[in-house]
Amino acid sequence: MHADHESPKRADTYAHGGSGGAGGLRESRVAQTFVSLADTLVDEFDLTEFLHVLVERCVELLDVSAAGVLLADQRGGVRMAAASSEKAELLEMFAADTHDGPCVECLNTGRPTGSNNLAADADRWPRFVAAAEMCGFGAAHALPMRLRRDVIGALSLLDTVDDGAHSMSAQLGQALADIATIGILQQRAITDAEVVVEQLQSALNTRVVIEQAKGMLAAHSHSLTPEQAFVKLRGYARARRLQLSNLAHEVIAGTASITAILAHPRR
Amino acid sequence: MSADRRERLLALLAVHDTAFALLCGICDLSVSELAVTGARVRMLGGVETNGGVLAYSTDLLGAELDDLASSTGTGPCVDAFELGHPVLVSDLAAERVRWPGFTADAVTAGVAAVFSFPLLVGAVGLGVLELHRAIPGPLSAIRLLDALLLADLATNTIFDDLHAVAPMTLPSVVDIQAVVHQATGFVAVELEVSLPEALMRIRGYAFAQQRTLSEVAKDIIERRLRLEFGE
Repeated sequence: MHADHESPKRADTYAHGGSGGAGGLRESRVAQTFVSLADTLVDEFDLTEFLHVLVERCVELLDVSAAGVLLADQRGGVRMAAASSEKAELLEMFAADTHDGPCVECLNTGRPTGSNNLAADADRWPRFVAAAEMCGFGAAHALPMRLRRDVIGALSLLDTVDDGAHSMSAQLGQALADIATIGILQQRAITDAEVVVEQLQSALNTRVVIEQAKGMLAAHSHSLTPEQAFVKLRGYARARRLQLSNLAHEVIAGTASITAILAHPRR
Repeated sequence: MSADRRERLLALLAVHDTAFALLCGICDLSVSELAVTGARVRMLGGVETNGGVLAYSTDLLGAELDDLASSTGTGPCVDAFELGHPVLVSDLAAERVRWPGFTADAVTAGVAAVFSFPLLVGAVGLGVLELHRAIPGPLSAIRLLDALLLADLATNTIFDDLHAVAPMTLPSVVDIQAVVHQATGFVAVELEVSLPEALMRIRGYAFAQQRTLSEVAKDIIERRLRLEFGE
């Protein structure tokens, strides 16, 4: 599963791109990755699994040793959300805890940040560079996961050697980060929409139940209109400090004393 | 192009400041921009009991269509909601088999074409925007685009209502057909049946008598009509 140092270098294949052979294979792999990252409308969406696919595909397609994702949480904090290797996970967790490093900076500014030679940038991110060195990384690039004004996280690309990231890699990396961001925001919107549906349904049901209770009381009374029955229902609820909707529920469930409600004097 | 059109529609809707006024504005705009006879927004809208409520209709015909969809539990708006894609019927009279009970009455009422757009966030349905027209024929491509944009704006309106201030404002102002639910309670007591069964009896009676659900319900609660056992 973890592929630190073993990840094969594919700079040549990628740099020469092209349509034939390995280039074509890569293109179809890129297309596949885009599709799988875009498809968050499935029933059983799992954010952790989704981000794992993202970081693994980054390692495979971008010619980097490891990748990780930091996400901003609801309270303005930062947490490690996925990493392609144990060492990347350690480093990203350290970055989140200490609020240091290119990925945290990228998350705060919403701009791509990084260094091809971390050792030379030690004064910029002192703690992160020291930790990166211990984990065996010499280069780190962070790409924002943003849609318009929303920066929801940062995608980190980590390399063992300081041989410089390809600008093409950075472009493809940003494209992957973008599509993942859309996927995550889409999924969040769906979760929010489910809450809206529940609230809407329950608010409407409450009104329906009150109308049904009015009708039941009117029928029992043999003479009241539903509106007159409602005056009784409301008066009874107020006198006993009951919630109108709860009382209406009890009426339609047959657990409230309809005789007592109808006997309530008008106020 | 769609971004420009969206901006234009948004500008036309800018005068409305509440969620409900916006939904009404979206329906009114549908009529003036899309050359249809009427438009309405239905919130939710599955086939189960209380599955959908009419938020606003620009005309009586739309309210009748909604009543018909509620009574029969079928129709383009129900399909659009449940299938999650637009249901475009340019010649309703040719679709008699698809929505039994609904089509014949809708055609008799004067509807020739119906265009139903689900209000979707991902796979989650919040409601339906439905347009109806007295003349058959499809929506032109540009009008279809505007209809989709208006459906999108209606979706955002309902969705944003939650994020403003809880509780939501829309559920308290939309038409839940109070009279139908009152009659349901009334009949449940009179016939000593469950509420769902009482509603079924009222629906069945309305359908058999070719009358709208709300007309029958009104007669029941005003004690002009008594449903008999086994009816």
